[in-house]
Amino acid sequence: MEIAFYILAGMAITSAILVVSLKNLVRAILALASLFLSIAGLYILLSAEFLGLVQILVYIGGVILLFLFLIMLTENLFEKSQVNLFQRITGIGLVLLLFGIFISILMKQPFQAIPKTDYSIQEIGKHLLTDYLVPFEVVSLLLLVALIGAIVIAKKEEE
Amino acid sequence: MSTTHYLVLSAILFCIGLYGVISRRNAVMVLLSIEIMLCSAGLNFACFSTIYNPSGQIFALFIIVVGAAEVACGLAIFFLSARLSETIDLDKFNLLKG
Repeated sequence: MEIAFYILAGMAITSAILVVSLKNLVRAILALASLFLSIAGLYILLSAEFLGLVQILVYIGGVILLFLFLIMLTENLFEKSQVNLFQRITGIGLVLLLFGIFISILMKQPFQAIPKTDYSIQEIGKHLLTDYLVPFEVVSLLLLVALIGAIVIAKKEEE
Repeated sequence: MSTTHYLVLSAILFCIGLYGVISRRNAVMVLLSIEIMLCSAGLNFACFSTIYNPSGQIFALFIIVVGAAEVACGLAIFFLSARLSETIDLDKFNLLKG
């Protein structure tokens, strides 16, 4: 079980570094797809199988498709100006500082092993419809609004 | 495996995503980096849901949904702005600059 975690974690970190450093946009999007896949594998390791499958369906099957359609429909999407070296080093320094703050807080947590939980889809569905009913309905409304908004924004103007 | 491993991985992914948001000049690349940060937050929630109750998984589900909606709207805005102006360099969108 440990080797699976380390393989998936290595794949996730490598994909994330590729996403933030590749110049070609299509390759960055494919690296993001491999990041989503490794995160789905990590969800399945945490015995959140429904969440892992929803991640694959929605993120890889929806979000990556959206990005690729955008690239198909527009031209000249490559980066023109670059950050100079001083800005890049400052950025890396700030991010490392934030990472240090995170680690100093994390290490104070007790070292708990992951138990083997068994939250079935039935239980998640029951929680969604009783405890989390209001966020569930609000999220469906949010999706409707996002759909209408995206269509209205990107529509071609009539002559 | 312990929760600390997953939390450290989530922190690493968050920081990589944050570096991507800071240092990228293309708007689509910034959206990609925001997606990395959302993934790390969801992983954090799912990790804690194994100890407490399934609320963590449900919240990670909502994060996925909101992330997808935000990407759709962001890409629509980016598409429109790329059509109206000739450049997509984020440094050139400075009409509001004082």
